[in-house]
Amino acid sequence: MDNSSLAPKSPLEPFLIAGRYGAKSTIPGVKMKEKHSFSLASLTVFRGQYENLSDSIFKTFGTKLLKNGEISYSQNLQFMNIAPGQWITYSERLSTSELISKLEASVGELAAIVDLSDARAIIELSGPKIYETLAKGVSLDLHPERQSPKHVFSTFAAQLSITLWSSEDGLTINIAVFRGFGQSLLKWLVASASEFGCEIDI
Amino acid sequence: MSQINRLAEGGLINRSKPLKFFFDGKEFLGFEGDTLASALIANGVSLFGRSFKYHRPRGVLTAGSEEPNALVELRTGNRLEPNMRATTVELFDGLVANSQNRWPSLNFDVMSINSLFAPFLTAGFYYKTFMWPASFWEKIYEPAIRRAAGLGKPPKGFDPDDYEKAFAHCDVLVIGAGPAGISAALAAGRAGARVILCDENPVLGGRLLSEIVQINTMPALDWVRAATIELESLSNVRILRRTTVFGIYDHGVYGAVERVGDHLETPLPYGPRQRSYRIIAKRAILGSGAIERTMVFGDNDRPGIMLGSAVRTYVNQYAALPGRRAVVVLSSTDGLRTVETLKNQGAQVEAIIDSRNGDVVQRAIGGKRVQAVQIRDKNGAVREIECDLVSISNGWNPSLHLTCHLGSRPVWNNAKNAFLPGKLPQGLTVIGAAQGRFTLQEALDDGIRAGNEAAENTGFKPKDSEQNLAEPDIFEHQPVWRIKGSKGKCFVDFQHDVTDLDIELANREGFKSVEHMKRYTTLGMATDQGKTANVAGLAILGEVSNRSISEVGTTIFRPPYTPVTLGALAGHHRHHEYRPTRLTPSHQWANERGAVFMETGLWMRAQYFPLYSGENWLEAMVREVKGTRESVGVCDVSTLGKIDIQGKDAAAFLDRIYTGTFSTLAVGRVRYGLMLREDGFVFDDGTVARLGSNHYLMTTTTAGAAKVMAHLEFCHQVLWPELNIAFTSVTEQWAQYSVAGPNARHVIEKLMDPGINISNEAFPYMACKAISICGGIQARLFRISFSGELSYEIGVPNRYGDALIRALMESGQDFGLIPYGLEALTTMRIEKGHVAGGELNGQTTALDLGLIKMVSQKKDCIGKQMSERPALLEPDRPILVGFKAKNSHTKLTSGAHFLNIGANPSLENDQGHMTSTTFSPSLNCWIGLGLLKNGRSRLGDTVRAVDFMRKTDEPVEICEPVFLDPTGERLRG
Repeated sequence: MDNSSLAPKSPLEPFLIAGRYGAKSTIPGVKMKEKHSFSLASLTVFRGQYENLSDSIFKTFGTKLLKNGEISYSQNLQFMNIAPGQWITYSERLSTSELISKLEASVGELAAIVDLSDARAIIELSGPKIYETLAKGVSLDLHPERQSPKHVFSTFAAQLSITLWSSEDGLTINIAVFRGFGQSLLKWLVASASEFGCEIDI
Repeated sequence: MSQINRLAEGGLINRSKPLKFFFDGKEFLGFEGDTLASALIANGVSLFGRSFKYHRPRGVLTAGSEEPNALVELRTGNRLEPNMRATTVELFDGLVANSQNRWPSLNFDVMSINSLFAPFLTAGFYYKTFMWPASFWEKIYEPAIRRAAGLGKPPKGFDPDDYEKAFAHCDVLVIGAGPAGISAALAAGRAGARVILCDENPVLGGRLLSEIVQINTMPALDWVRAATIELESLSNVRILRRTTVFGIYDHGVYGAVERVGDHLETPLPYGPRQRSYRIIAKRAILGSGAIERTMVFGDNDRPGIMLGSAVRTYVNQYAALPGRRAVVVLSSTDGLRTVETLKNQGAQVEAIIDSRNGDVVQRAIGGKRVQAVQIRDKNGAVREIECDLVSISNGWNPSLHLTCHLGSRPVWNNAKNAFLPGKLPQGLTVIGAAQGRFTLQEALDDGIRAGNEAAENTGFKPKDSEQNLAEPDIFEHQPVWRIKGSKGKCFVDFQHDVTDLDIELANREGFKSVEHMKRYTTLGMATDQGKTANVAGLAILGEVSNRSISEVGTTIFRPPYTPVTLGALAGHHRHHEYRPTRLTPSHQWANERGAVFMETGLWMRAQYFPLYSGENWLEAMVREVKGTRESVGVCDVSTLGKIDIQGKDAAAFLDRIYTGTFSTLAVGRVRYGLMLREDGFVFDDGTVARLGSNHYLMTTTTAGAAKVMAHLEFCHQVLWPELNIAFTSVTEQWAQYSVAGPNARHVIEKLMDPGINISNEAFPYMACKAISICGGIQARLFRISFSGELSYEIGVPNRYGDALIRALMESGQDFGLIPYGLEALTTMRIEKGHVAGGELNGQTTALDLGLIKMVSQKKDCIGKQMSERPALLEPDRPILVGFKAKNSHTKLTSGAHFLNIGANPSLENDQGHMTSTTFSPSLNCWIGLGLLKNGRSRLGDTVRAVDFMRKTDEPVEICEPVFLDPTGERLRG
C-alpha cells in the first residue's frame, strides 16, 4: 500500500465531458465550467455579536459584512449574506486551510465557522443566453437591469436548493448546489441551454 | 379533391408554400398559414367528427380555441394527441390527422344508432338505468359506456419530445393581441415598461385578421403590421406568440403555455415541443375578446352550420369558402358583416333571417351536411330554404374566464346582454370585448388607456399616443336563446351532446341550481368547458324556471382556460429526471464494480454488489454479511445526515433535544441519541460526537436529515432563541465509510499516518478523534457500529471520497475486504436489534422500542412529558421483540400482522405487526423485528405472522430483539 496522498476529485469530474452540446450556433449561448479550485466556509454569527463580528472582519479583511443578501468583496475573498446572521465566505485564491485559519484568527468566538469547501458543486455560466437558460428553473427576476451583481440568492432551480451569485463584473454567474446533486443540476442546465447551444469547458 | 372551396385570391395564407396533409388517410393540399380546419374546408370537407354521446355527424362551428365539434387525433405513434381542435391546429407539411370516436369510419359510424335510443339517453340516464345489479357497474356497465361514448385515445408509449417550464417577469402582461391588446402593449411599451404580450395565435391581430375594417383610414391589417413591427422593435417588449395564458393565480402569477413546436411535424432540434410559463407580472391587461354565441334550434349541429365570425375568418383570413348557398341567421348587426363578406366572394345568400323581425330558423335539414333550413316567419308560416351553409350571429360572450380564477363570479349586464367580469383579481384590468365593449373604437381606446395606466402604476411615464380611429361601427343585439317549437334535437352543449330538453329535465327533477344543473346534465364540462354553450344553458334554465339570467346566475371558470398537456406542466422533470438524484461519494466506484443501486429518498445507494452475473440480492447479501462478520466489509454511510453544532449553549441545547444527556459527554466521545417529537413519539435517532467543548457533530438517519435540521432550527428560533448556538449541515462535506468486522482495525491502521494509536485501549468503543491518513489527509474517525461488529466510521473531505474507497479496498485486500450494500447493512442491523425506518414509523415511543433507559429521568426534553401520557404507558401496547421463523427458510414479510394461534383474522384479534424482516446468514433462518402486544412477557411463545397482501401465514417464535452478540463483545473487541 502506497500511503501517498489521496487524489482529490471534483464533484462533476465523473460527468463533465468537454465539448459542444445542443444547437450548433456559431457562438454558444451558454458556456459552462466547473469551479475546481475554491474554498468555501459558512460563517454564522452568535447571538448579539454582529457588530463585533463585522468590525473584526473589517479589520482583518478590509470589507464590511453586509446584510440583506449583499456581497462584500475583499482582495482574496468575498462574504455573501445568505440568511439573517449567515454568510458564505468564498475564495478562489486562498486554500481551504488558509481560509479557515484566517477566519478563525479573525472571528474567534464571535461566530461558528464551518468548512464547506467539499460540500458544494459550483458551476460557472457565461454567454449571451445565461438569463434565458436560468429562467427555465430559477423563479427570480434575474434581468440585469433589475438585479445588482452584488447580491447572492438562496433559491431553487429544477427542484434543487441552490446558491446563485454573479461575478463582480456581472459577466458570469455561479451556481452552487449540494455536491451530491451536481449531476442533476448539470443535466438540467445542459437541457435548458441546448436550444441556444452550450459549451462545456473542463 | 383539390381545394375546390379555396378562393382565387385574398387571405393571409402563403400560396407559394403548398402543404400536403392527410385526414382519415386521404391526402389533401393546403397552404402555409392554414389551420387544419381551414384547409379541410378549402378542400370541401364538412364532416370532421362524431359527437360524444349520439355519434351525430359534426362539422366546424367556430374558427378558434372555443371549438366544441372538430376534435381530431393529431399525429401518429407516440406523438399522437387526441382531442386536438382542428380550428387551432396549424397546418404543416405531412400532417396526419384522424377523426375520432367513430367505428368503423367517420362516414359510417355504427354507434350513430345511439341517436335512435336518444329518449333513453337523457341527462343522468346512467344513474337511472344501470343500477342493478350493483356488481355490474364496475365490470360491465361503466366499460361499455366508456367504449360507446368518449373522445380520442392517448398513445401508450413514451412521448419522445421535450418539454420545458420557465419563469418570466414583467411590469405589464397583456393577454390577447387583438386591437385592444396591441394598443395596450404599444402604450405600455412606449412608456418603457417591461411588457409581455401573449396571444394564442401565431399572428398578432385577433379579430382584425378576419374583418374587413379600417383604422386610421388604412386597412386594419396594415395597422396590425405596423404595430407588430413597432412592438418587435421595442427591446422592453416580449411577444409570446402561440401562447395561451391559461390561469391566474395569487399575487400576480399567471400560467401560460407556449406551443413552441406544435406547428411543426417534429419540434426543432434541441427545442421543446411546448413550454409552460409562470409569469410574474406587476400589472396585467386582459384583452381576450369575446366568443360568438350559437343559437338553439332543431338539429342545429348539422355540419355546415357555423358561427358568423367563423365564416368571416375562413373567408377573409384563410380564403376558404365554407359554402356557396348561405342562409344568414342573425340577432345582431354583426351578422350583416357576414352577408357582405359572402357576397363579396360570390356566394349566394339565400336568405337573411333576422330574429329581431320575428323570423326564426326552427330546424336544419340534412345529415352529414346541412341541405336546407326550415324558416318560421313572424306570422307562423313555415318554409324551407335550400342551402349548404348556415351562418349564426347571436351576439357575443366576453372571454372573461381568467377573471374568475381567483373566485370572482361574473355579473349579468342587461344592457350588454352578457355576463361581464365581476370583482377583478388584484392588478388586472379588462379591456375591449372582454369587458363587453364590443366596438372596434372602444377596443382601441381601452387599450391605450389601460396600457398607459399600467405603465404609470409600475413607475413609468406614459407617452402621448394619438387616438387610433376606427371606421364608424355600431353593435346592436337582441339575443335569441332558443327557438321554441323547434323540431329535432336542439343542442346547447355540442361537445357533450346536451340539449335544451336535458336542461328542462334537470329543472323538472329539481336540479334548479345552476351548479346542480351543470353536474346533472354535464353542460360545460367537456374539454371546451362550454365556451359556446354555457350562457344559452343558463338562459334556458331561467326560462323553464321562470327566472331571469341574473337570478339563475352562472357557474365560474377554473384554470386552465384551454387544455394544457401534462408534459408542459412537468417540463424537464419526467422519466429519470422526475426528481433530482443525489449521488454518494463512492457512486462512480460502485458503478464500476457493477453495484445494483436503489433509491433511498433522493439518494442512489448501492443495494448490493453482485460478484457474478446473475447473483441475486439474497445471495449477494448473504455473502456480504458473512464476509463482514468473518473478516471485514466496507459500506458508504455518507448519506446519514451530519449537522455541525457550535456555541457555548450547544450542550444545553442537545440536552433539551435528545432524551439522553450530552452535556456530560466527554470531548472525543460519541453517544447514541434518541429524539422525540413534541407529542412524545420517537422522531429520529443517531449519534452525537463531541469534537470540542462547544462543538458537536450530530448524525441523523438518511431519511430524517432535512426534517431534523428543520426541527433544530425551529427549536432554536422559536422555542429557545436565547441559546447561543449555530447549526450547519455538513452531510455533503464529508465522505464517510463504515469499515466493520473483526479485521476492521487492521484495514484502517494501514491507511493512517504514523503515530496514531487506535488500539482498543487508546481508542475504545464510542470514541472519536481527528486523524490524518494517506500522507496528511485530515480525517475524522468514529468507533461506532451499526452492524454489531468492531467498526470504524472514517470521514474525509468529500473530494477524497472516491480515492478513499479505492484506498480502503486496496488496504483491505489482504483481509478479503468486501463492499456491502444496503441489503447487508439492513440484515446486520436487524440481527443486532437496532431500530430503523420500520420501527421509527412515527407511532412508536421509546418505551415501545425498548429504549426507555435512554430517556433520562434527571432532566426534561422535547416530548418527554407527552410520552408519559397514560395511553402510551399501557402495558398491552405493542412493543419491540424479535421473531424467528419456525420454518427457518420460509420467508417472513414486513407488514405481516400477528395473530394468536387459532385466532380469526380480525381487528379485535390483531396482536401487532412485523416491522422489519430479513434472512439471517448468522442464524441461518428468517428473522424479524416487530411490535407485539405484551411482547416481553411472551418470549418463547409462537404467534402467526399473517400477510394477506402476499398470501403468507407463518408461525413465528417470539424472541429477544437482539439476535447476535447480546453482550456486545464483538463491537468492543
